[in-house]
Amino acid sequence: MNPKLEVPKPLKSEHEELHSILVGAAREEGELGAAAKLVVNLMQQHFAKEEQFALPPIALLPRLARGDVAADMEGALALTDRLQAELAALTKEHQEILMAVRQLLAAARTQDKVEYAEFAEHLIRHVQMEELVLYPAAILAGRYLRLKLGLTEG
Amino acid sequence: MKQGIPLALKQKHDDLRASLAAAAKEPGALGGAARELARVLEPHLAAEEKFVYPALGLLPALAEGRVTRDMEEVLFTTRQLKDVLPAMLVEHRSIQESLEKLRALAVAASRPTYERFADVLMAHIDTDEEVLYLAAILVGEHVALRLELEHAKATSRTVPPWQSRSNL
Repeated sequence: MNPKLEVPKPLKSEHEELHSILVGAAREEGELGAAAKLVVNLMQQHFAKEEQFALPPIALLPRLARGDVAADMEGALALTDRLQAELAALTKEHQEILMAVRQLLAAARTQDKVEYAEFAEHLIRHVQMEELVLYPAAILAGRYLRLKLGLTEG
Repeated sequence: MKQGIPLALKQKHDDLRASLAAAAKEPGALGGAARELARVLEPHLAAEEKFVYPALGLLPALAEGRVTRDMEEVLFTTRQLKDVLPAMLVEHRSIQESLEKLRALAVAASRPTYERFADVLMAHIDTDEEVLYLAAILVGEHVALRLELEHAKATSRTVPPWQSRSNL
């Protein structure tokens, strides 16, 4: 893998922020805390996978968008191939996370914790954004790179 | 071609608009700063919804390897995006300046809701610049390349037999 291929800073920061708020919610009492703990457990491994192979290919976008394609980028294809191979599993994890987040949302509303209700809605949108924009953008970076380098599908 | 705007992105914009509209109703300097921000932000969000987000609506199909002739329409949008991109980045700097003022006023007035709004919008700008604008441009580049390759393939297939190299 290209050693310079890291998760773009805004995406990494968003993960860190989500994690930090979830940890705070997990300290709450009652259903809210229990639901947040479940979300934390589900998210931890999921975030790790995303940061390992789903989000680093997004770091190719600045070069690809300015038409800079070179053989040193080929290492990224291992990541985009893995993302394509594990896409169904990641999406399934999202479904489990969403179920837990909806419990968190319901508990936050019941316990009148507006900030956590808003957070849960934000988390739902984060998942949708990943599925509809970020994962496909990472996969597309791989497809485009292959075409430009004249390589066949992996 | 039907280019839907990804719903999560549209909702994010609508949330930003709603928060800013609430801030703009505040009295005094805080409300004034919010109204100043709204003047630069609203046309900018509209430009993103016109030049950036429609291309992003094609990402799921392209990631699955589907490219259709009617996607050619997106090239018009992504070419326009490349033209307006420098201006959109300048607008970001101006939005950030207004946001910093709003944030400072929110801190001074102990209004954490608006501090939070400023942080969310700052992060949104970073994501626009480092991910979304570039992904939209990549959509255009990929569609153009695939259509060009398919055209070249189709043209080589339709060479009349008397022009075919094997008959020479």
